[in-house]
This record gives sequence, structure tokens and C-alpha cells, in this order.
Amino acid sequence: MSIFKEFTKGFWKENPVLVLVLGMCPTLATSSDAVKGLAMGLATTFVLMGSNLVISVIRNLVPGKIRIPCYIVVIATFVTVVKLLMQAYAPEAYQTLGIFLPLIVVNCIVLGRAEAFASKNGLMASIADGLGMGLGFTFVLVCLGCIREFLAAGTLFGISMQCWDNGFAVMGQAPGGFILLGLILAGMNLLNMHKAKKAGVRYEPPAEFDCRHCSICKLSTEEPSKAK
Amino acid sequence: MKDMRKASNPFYLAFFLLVVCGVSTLVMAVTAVKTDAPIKIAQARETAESLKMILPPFDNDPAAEAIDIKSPDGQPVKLYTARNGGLVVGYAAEASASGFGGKVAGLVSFKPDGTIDTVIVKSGHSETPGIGTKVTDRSVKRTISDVVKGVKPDTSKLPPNAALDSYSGIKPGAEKWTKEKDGVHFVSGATYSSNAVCDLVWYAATAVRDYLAKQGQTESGEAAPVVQEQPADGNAPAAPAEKKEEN
Repeated sequence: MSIFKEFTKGFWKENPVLVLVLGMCPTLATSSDAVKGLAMGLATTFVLMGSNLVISVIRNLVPGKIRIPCYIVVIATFVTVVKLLMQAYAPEAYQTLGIFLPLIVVNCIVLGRAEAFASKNGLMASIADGLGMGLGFTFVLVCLGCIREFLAAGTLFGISMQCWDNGFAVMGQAPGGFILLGLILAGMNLLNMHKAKKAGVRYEPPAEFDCRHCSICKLSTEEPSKAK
Repeated sequence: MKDMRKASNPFYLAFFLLVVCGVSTLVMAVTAVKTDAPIKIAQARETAESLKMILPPFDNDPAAEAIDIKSPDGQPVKLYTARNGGLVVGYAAEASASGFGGKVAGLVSFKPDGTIDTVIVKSGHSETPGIGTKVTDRSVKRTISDVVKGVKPDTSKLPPNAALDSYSGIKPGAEKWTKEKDGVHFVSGATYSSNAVCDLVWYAATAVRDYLAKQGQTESGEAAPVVQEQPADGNAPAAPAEKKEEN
């Protein structure tokens, strides 16, 4: 795959939220309004890019047995650096994100990409993958944030659309986020099924995204399989 | 791994992890040292800006001479004294209480006689957006027609918030304020956030009351902190007369 393909797959084909369904906790917590979603998405993108870069560089040095703790240390370092930088140079954004920022460490998307991609691929491809995945994540967070904010408070990016003030309060909460995300995922599946029907085949979710094929669970001595 | 014997040796693995952690510690330490000064500046600026919003014009640096006092309930309160030409023009007290999503910290400004002037809740709390934030946030309301017309938001004064403004102009009595007795505003559905705001204002107000009483005793009249009332300068968005009894 070309670098460009690695970059674009994060938006639709392997979108971390809509297809891989990773990182639900930050997704639901920070997509209650568009501004928060955007800030969280960009912070995650930076961490994802940085951790992918470093992990891709050290991938041949890290012994297989302790690769996960090594990756977590790398990710945690990046998150701490981002947190300090935001505190110093973007205090407003830091205050909006507050407690969510340290949660990037345990965001499955970051560890997932480190394990599934950066540990098997070269430097440029890993950076492109991190950037694409991060921006795909940001894109979904902003979309969800806009819908939820509009339904819950009648505003977009904090600006009133002059429709209603007291809207659909459940949308501002995590349950509303779950419901909306469920509807979007159902819509995506419907679309994919429709496409498959047109092509005359039965729709199967891509096997490589299945939980059973995820190499994170295989914590044995073996190296992550060099498939693909 | 090129060398399997080495790669499965626990001492090698431990050593490797140690190196990884050491490098990451180094990176974090360097960043922490480099960002230390900018973070302090950013925080000081936030406090200074908040104080400027809620206090009458002053010419000293209240943050530099802030003192730590305690409320009668034992809650820590940080007291800022604003002076203009040597005369005390107002006090601001920082206190915190626990709300629905953790700590809610606020700044309360007082007239020199201990009457509450303006209450603001510091950003960075975790109250539920749309519910708890109705009590805590003074957010600028912008509408799409303003944006289209190019109307700039008015940043010269604080945006109103019915719950926070309901404390303006009252003094702490013997007991904590209630909705019925004192007309302070509790938002239904946001009980925790309303209680947190009430608590923190109470801590700040009682601490300042005690502080002023002690000062009055020690300095007995001589340089009493009471100066003539500053003219209302639009910093208190809701006069007590406009207090609404909703919900």
C-alpha cells in the first residue's frame, strides 16, 4: 500500500471509531460538544503520530515479550509531554479537556495502532497511518459532537442556532452518545450490506477487524504475525 | 529477535524495560523543566484576569499578597486583597467544594464590608455539560445571526448566570443559605452542582467574615478595611432586586 492509502484508510475503510470500534470511552466522553471533540481528536492525533513514529523506529529492538509495556511507556511519555505543552501554551484547551487528557494513554486506538501497524511497518507508513487514524478519529468526534451538541443544546461550536435552548438533554450524556453511535454503525452496516448485495455477495465483516484476530491478545513469546 | 537466548533472558528484559523507562523519564523531565515557567505564567495570568473581572479597579498585585485562611468549617480559602491607592477596595476569596463530577473551585469577590459582590466558578471543573454547567458557567451566548451579522461578543463584562448572580449582595448569616430564606438560586436537576456552588460561596464568605472580624479587633478602628462604597461598575450583572425565584 502506498503512503497515501495508509493515510486515507483511517477516514472510512478502517475508521477507528466507526469500523474498528476502538476507543469508545474517550469517544463518548468528549463528543458531547464539537469543540471538546475537536480538541480531544487533535491531541490524540498528535500522540498517535508520535507514538507510531517512535515505535516504528524501535520495533526491531524491542523484545517480543515486553513489547506491550514498552509501547505503553512510549505512549504515556507522549501524553505527558502533550499535557505539559497544552498546559503551558494552550491553557484554554487544557481546561476543556481536563481529566480526559491522561485517558489518551489507555485509548485503545493508540495502543491498537502501535501493535497492529507501527510494530510491523516502516517509519513513513507508520506516521501516515497515525496521522490518518488520528484525523479519522477527530472527524468522527467532531461529527458526533456537532449532532449531540445541536440536539442537546441547539448550538454548534458554542454558537446558538436559534432553534431551541432546552433540547434533547439525553444527547448531551453518554447514553445519548451510545444511541447515536449505534444508529450510525447500523447505518454503515446497512450501507455495506447494500453494496455487497449489489455486487451479489453476502456481507461479512472484514475478518481482520474481528476481535479474535487481534494480535494484542496473543501475549505469548511469539512475535506478532507478519501478515499483510 | 536475532538472539532468542538473549531475548528471553529475564535480566535482559528487565534491563531493556529499565532503559526504555529511563529514556522516557528523561524526555518527560526535560519537558517538565522547559514548560515549568510558561505553565506558571499561564496560571498566574488566568488568576489575574479573573480577579480583574470580579473586583473593582485596583492598582496592587492581589495574587502576590494572597494569604491562606480557613473557613469556620475548616475549609482552606485563599484570600486576595485588592487595593487602590493603599485603600482596600475589595476582597476576593478562592474556595472549592465537591460537585457532581469532582471539585468545583470558584472565586468570590467581596465589597470591603464583606458583602458578596460577584461569584465566578473557575473553568476546569467536570460538571455535566448542559446540566451542571447551567449553575457554574458564565458562558457568552452567541447566536448564528450575530455571527452572520458580524456582531462581536461583549467581553467587557461578565456574562450573566442566574444561579451565580443570586449570591450577589448578600452576607453570610448564622446558617447556610437556603432557596426559600435567602433567595439563592438552585437549579432543579443540577442539585449537586448547585450545592457545590452554595458550599464554596459559603466557605469563602464565612472565611472572609471571620477574617474581617479579626482584623477589626486587632486594628480596632485605626485602619479599618472599610472604605467608601465603590460605585457599581457593571461587574455585578444582577442587582439583588432583580433576583428571580424560579423553579
